[in-house]
Amino acid sequence: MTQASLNPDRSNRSSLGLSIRKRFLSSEPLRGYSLLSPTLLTMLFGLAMPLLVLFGLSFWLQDYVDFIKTFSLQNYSDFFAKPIYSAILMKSIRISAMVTLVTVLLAYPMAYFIAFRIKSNKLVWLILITVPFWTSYLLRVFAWKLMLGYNGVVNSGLKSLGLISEPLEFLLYNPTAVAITLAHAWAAFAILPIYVSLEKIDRSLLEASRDLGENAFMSFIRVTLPLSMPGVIAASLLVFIPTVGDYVTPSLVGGPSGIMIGNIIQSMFGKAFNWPLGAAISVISMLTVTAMVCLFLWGTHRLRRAVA
Amino acid sequence: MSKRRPWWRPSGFMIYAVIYLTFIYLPVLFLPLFSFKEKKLSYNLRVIREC
Repeated sequence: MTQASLNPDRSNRSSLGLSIRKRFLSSEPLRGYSLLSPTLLTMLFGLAMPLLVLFGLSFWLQDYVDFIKTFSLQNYSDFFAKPIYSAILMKSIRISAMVTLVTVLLAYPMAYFIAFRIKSNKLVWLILITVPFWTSYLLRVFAWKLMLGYNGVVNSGLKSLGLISEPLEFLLYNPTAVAITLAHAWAAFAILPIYVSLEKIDRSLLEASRDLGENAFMSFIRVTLPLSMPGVIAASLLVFIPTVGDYVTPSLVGGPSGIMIGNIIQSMFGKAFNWPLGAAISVISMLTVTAMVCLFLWGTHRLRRAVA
Repeated sequence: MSKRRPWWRPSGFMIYAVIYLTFIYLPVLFLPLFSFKEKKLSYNLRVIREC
């Protein structure tokens, strides 16, 4: 008598386990999902869940310290009823767009220099670029406060050179100070993607372009620039998306005229103690940034097709 | 054979790279320098106390 016939229950269980294992091994999508499962779980609990909670919260109302847990669009109507919120959101997008443009324009020549002109020790140059960003973000923002402040480096320098008699007050606490600080803080995030896309360009294409009679400038415009556009787009998105919602820089160097939408959201979750309205402003900001990014991607896609 | 540019005659890109590195390093390098500076108020108080 076999062991299976002695214990039929155990035999059924082992055959079920075998069939599950067989099905798992034969199914490629199932194996793929199981390999992805740690990432999927992290994304689900770390990203999707908080966003869903935020989205749900935006439909509730705040009654002093309690939430009124009934569906309401009051927060969204409040946002559009008070023009200050839309104005600050638009200002944030304007500042971020300016920061992105300046950062990418300044980063491109640097990335080009490392990718094309440096023959050896490229790693040293890359480390040189990233070293200042090993310090805390907050410290770098404070460093700009020291630079642009009333008794800061710029004012002290100009005063000691005899160019000014009184310290300049317009250097700090305005949108320009926010833009300079953000452009500095996000510089490395712009250089690295552009450098990678430039490094990947097949050098024989450039040689072919020169052989076919293009000069260096036209060769750059017609070959290098279009081929490096993925890096430029990645750099633009890497700078634009986080800077729209930044609240540390505007609160330290922005002053009253330099506040951005991040400061409003932070105050809603802090001093104002209106979490649902803060959540609604966050959702509207996210949707606006998504729309801007889609518009930007569509525009660059059209531009690339037009150039090609 | 390609001629190497002497170090004392840097290219435009090299000059730009140095200016860019100055831009990203300068604020960060000023932080430790400022750590040696004394706050004016505490300095004045100490001067008054010593007098």
